[in-house]
Amino acid sequence: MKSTILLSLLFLNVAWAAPRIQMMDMNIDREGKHLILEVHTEEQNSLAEMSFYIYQPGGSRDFIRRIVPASSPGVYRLEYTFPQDGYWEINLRHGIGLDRYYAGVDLNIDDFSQNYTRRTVFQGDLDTRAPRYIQSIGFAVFGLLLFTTLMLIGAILRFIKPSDVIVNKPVIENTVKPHCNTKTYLLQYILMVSLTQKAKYALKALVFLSKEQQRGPILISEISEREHIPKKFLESILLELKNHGLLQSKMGKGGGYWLNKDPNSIYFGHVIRIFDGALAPIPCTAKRYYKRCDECIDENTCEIRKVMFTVKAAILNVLDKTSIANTVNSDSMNDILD
Amino acid sequence: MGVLPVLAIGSVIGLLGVYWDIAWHIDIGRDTFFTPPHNFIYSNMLIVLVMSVYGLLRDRREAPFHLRFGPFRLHAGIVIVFTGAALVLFFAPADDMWHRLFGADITLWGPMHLVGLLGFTTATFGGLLSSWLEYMLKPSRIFLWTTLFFTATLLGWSMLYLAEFEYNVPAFPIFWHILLLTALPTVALVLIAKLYPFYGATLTALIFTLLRFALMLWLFVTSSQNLAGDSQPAIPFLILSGLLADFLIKRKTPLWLTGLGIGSMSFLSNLPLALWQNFSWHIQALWIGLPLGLLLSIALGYLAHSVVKHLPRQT
Repeated sequence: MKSTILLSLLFLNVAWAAPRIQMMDMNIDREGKHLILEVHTEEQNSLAEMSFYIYQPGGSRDFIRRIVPASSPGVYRLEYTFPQDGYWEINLRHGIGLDRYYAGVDLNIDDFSQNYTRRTVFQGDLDTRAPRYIQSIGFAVFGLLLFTTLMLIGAILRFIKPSDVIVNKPVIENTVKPHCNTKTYLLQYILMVSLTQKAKYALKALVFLSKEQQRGPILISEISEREHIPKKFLESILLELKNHGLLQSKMGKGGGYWLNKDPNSIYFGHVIRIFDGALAPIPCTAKRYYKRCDECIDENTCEIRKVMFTVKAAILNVLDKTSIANTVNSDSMNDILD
Repeated sequence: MGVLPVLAIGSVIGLLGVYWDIAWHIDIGRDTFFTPPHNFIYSNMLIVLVMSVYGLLRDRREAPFHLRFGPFRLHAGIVIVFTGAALVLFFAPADDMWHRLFGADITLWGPMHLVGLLGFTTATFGGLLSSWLEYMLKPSRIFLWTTLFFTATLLGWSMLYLAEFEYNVPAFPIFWHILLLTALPTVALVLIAKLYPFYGATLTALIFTLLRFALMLWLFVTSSQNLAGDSQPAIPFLILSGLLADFLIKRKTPLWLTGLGIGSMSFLSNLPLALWQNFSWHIQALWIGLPLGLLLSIALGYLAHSVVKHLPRQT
């Protein structure tokens, strides 16, 4: 509510300035068909501009426009070479938005041959059939509507929530063996089905860097050799981890990769989500990566979905609680799994 | 969903109508409320409003993206379209009253005009959201193309705020032209480049350019029928910005750098156009407009990113 009022006041202020009638002196200096028109206004705003609309003789509505900033406060200078004789009309516009004023000058190029000065008054563009504060109210209404519309769109977007459709192809790993512990078995089963090679290598690299943390930067070639990960593949994985703020790197001699965060705060779940997306066993149980099953009739009564929610809870319970540091310490790992 | 193509056409017709209306104001002036461009705009928005109500009534699926109001299910995107169309139509009499009170020739950035533009932009964003949600529910090419089309029209509506500068009759200082031309394209381009990484922003910029050429043709036709003057707006060149947006988003460049890059490209690719069209981009205006435009471009990049974060995506 407070910001609504502030926004409205901001727009209210747009039209608050009182209208002013501007006087101007025009010094017209002519040499051949070359015109120097120098306009002096009472207002001396250094950011103000003067628009000159130069209309050709013969009643054509085609015009040439020149916008000139103030050469010194309140002074605007136009130079123009007329391509032909005749009556030329120059319209001048000055001021901003609703506070815009205009004046016209007619020049007969055939007649005048000497310099002269003319004093005229700028007319306001705005009709005055209503008090000027009505404009301010109009801007305030716009501010309110803008704010309300943005709030509405924001609320709708928050309702939708993000949900990715995962199309990453899983790499089936046969090396994972079931464990006697039920939770571990469940975890291994899920990982066996859905963990990609990329995510697995990323985890391996992070665990390695965590173990060797004291040594400072470590070369890619060393990680690749020690963990049996193809070097090119590892480069792209480490770059992605760096882009997500988990690693830091340094080029050149003494360079390499090292952990940018405490290994206690890097969780398996986070790393797997970076490379593989959802941790949920089926997309309709995901929160951030939700997708309804194509053949679904009613989500609320779907038995498979209910079971998979339980599976998901078990997965999250392990992956979002297991940090890279836990893997190094076997006691804390057992605590999580039990 | 049959409603979406009608809404997409409605958004483009609205764009043609508003540019036509501005040309009418510049060259003919304004006599009554019921000028041909006004009739064109408001009858079009009435069709959009009716179609959005029809869409809301017809589509009451138990879909995950539908808003729940007790027993009712409302399509999230169509609700936004309805809001935008209603805003335009509800404030049409207020616009007429404003012209009667304050004269024909007030600026495009007058309060009631801004309300109208807000309505059009909102409705177009609603169309974009509807298309994308439909695409997520059923990945069909038609929904992908309507999404790209809506994003191109959203880009068109965001550039409409520059119309006075494009028509060469600005009521505000020139630095606004530089500032907004640098910044505004970033929203739509970042949004689509993140949603559809396969040259989404480039395709959007191309469709936008084609739409603007269609608009030019439309203004030639209305002018030849004495239904407008000869004024033609300049067409902003945004294809390079689209290409860069795709490249930067694909490379996962930090957002601030993406916003900065797209803003710089929008400015640089339009600089020759500004010189050719005699836009009077003087040094003082550049000093103010360009840095502010780049900052705004970065901010709008973040805005687009935060919108995308709330949308479902394919990876």
